[in-house]
Amino acid sequence: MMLKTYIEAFTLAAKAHGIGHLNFYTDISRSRAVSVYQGELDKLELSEACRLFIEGEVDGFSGEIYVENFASEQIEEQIQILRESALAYQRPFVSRPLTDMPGQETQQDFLPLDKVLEGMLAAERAANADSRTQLQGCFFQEKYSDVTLTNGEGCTMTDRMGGAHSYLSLTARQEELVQLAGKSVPLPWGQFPDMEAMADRVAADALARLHAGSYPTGACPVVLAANVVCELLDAFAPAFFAKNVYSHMSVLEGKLDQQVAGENITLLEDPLLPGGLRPRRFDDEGTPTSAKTIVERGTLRTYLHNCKSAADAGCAPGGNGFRPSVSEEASAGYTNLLLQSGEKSQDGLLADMGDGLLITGVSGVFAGAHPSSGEFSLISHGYKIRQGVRQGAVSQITIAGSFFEMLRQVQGIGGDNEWMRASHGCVRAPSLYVSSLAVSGGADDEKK
Amino acid sequence: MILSNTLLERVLNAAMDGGADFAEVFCEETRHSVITGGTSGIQNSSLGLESGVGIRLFSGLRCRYAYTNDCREDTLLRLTRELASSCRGGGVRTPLTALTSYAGDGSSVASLKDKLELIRRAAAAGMDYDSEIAQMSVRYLDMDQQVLIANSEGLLASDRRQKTRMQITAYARWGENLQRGFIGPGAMAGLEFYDSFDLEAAARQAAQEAKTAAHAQKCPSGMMTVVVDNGFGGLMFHEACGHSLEASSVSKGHSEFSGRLGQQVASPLVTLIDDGTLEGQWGSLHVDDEGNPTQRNVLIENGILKGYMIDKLESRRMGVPATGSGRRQSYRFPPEARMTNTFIAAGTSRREDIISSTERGLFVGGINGGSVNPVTGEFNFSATGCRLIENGRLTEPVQDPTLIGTGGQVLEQVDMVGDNLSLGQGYCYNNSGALFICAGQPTIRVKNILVGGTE
Repeated sequence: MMLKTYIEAFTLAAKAHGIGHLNFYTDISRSRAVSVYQGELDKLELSEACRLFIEGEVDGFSGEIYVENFASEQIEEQIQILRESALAYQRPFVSRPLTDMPGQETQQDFLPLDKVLEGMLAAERAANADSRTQLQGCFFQEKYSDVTLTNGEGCTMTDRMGGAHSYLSLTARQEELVQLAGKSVPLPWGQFPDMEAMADRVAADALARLHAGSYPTGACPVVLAANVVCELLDAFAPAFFAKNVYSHMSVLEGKLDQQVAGENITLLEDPLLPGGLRPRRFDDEGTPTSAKTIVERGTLRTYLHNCKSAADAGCAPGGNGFRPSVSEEASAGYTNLLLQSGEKSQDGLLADMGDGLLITGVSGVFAGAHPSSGEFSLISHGYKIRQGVRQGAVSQITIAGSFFEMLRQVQGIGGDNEWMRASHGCVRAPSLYVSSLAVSGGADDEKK
Repeated sequence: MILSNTLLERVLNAAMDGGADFAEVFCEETRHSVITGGTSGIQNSSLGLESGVGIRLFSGLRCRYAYTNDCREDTLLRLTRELASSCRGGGVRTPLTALTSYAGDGSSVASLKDKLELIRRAAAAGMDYDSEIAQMSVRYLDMDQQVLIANSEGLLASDRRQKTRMQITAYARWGENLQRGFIGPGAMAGLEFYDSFDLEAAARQAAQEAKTAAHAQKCPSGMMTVVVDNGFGGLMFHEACGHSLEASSVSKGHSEFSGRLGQQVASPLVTLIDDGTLEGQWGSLHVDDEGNPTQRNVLIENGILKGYMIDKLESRRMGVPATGSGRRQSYRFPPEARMTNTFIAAGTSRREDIISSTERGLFVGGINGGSVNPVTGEFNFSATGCRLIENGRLTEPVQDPTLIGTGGQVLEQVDMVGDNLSLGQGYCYNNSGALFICAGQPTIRVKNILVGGTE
């Protein structure tokens, strides 16, 4: 059964069961992912999916059901689940009016496969050019989703989210030494990166890290590379979600209009930023999105609200009601989260720091960063810095501290923005020079 | 979306005629409930039916995959032909055999109200534990997954997997300090699992952990002797060597354990097993997602590397049989060799002896999560429920640090293994999605691990 026919049939059946005020959230997506290995197309993955989340009113309560099977014989069971959820949860139904925002209807084409493969195979050759390096993974994915909200009153809102993502990793080996390095690059729809240049940079990084040493345990000035700042920002963004604040699960509870970071820190959300990787005109609850300043020169100006948290707080919904996945109710999220950049290059920040550490990668952020407490402890790698210059690679160390305390200790902000597709939206951030973080490493390795 | 045999055969024919030398169709229908709530009601919910088909083709050692929930014949054949167009060769298809059903017995019928009552009980017990408990967040989930797997070698198998789990998180506030405690019991079972499970005790344990963490001191940094308690502490070995023993890492020579079968890779005290057959365990399956019965795989025995976890594609590359380890989150992922219930076998030391014989070190009560770089073996995990060990006694609680090391190094430095094996439940994230797994161990002591504290 086609989607339109299914929605019509569901609406009729729901009406017969006394279910009204139906809202339909659909996500129609297509994707193609390719990888190469040893001079050939290694993996090809295609997807075509249509997923639907339905909400409706039953006896004044709000019920729901997530659907992937649009067979007519499934409708009765689906209606029973929606009905049961309304009566069990007993959450009052709140009407959310939609505004007509039609979207594109044309199907978008993927980039020509032969051109994509040509670029990826060139990257593989570059990755294997040095006898010490070997490609481990070379991957390129294109995906778009059309998100549509419709209701029984004929209103339709559609946003298209499209984008690409490339990833390249390689190993460097020399005698007993081995190192893995990789780079992930998110792109707007229709773009293909210079993967050959990516391979060159990743190979240089892997080779440099082959001889990585440790670093003495203790407090230390650090420059966090932009990609690391993106990871931390994404990990701690839930502290800004109003639903967490009002549930006593955020360290930022009660901090509105208070200083939560240094005066040089400004954090923005801009859903319609030109070149932004997550353009959205409305959130997943149908609220129009809007640009907002979350932290202004260190002062917390707003939390990120969905409809429910806004109602609890007695303010207008902020357009930040996004679904963690299509199958879940709207919770909280963001579109393009931007840490305002400075003007210095990363080398300029290193020069200002003099002696310390440049952290170029962290792992295990999902486990080692705790948004409720604001604390983190993460395995890291990077470079020793002496008199502003890289002196050798460092690995097998941890950096640890409090994220918001760290934001009070930012001594310099780079102009070298990087993007990351993150768990709650997209993040853009520059490198940061932080006066001190706790570093744990080898006790005997000298600061060279 | 369970397809008819006729349609399955048409798809398999299209694949083989188009140039694949192996083809597989994975059909899935899953009913799920995921409900998050606390004492103040429901915070988030997902109730629904996932349904779709994954089509996988091999051309030598190359893999092609497509998935869709549009299961009309023309869509499935179009996607299959598009995949096959990049395959070289082709093969002969064996007619489908009679269906082999591995489905578990019975079905769990529970009302939503019953599930909400579980959430309410856990949240109330946690809140009642102490006035410093600021919030309880309880996530209930269950799934009833039915799969049908058909392939060009004639395999036709079905399975039914019922799972349930509670993820109970307590938040304790002491002054400005907000800390969490967590416990996540689960099983391959329906709601009857909770009949014999003390939910209130679990919630209080999470609350106690949160309160202790809120009062904890900063954790020291540096190399230390570490005692990891039994249960989900086994995630240390899941990260330290489990992933590095999966075929996707091993087969292309990317793992630190590639080509080392028969070699001593760990302390003789270490025996590591992955066993997907354990009755009722959260990480168990009757049959893997490639249609092979799960099995007990001894990976390391008394420190000697004995085997890997191998899926169908990598079994071709490695020239050895698959091990019933092919797993995927859903039809949206091609399968890969992944862990199921992975644990260190019990040793002979008593827990109290392990602690009392440690002059100074860190006691780790549990593990939040972690990750590994299989090439270098570098792993990290976030420890929880930590205390200092001083003069053979547990003393001050300390804040959660991250512990890091390399797999080979940690395996060699295990010097005491307890007799109190138990398993904990969690998720594992990798290329084939988020999978339910158990990790387990007895209490274990490792001589040297780098502790990433804040002091």
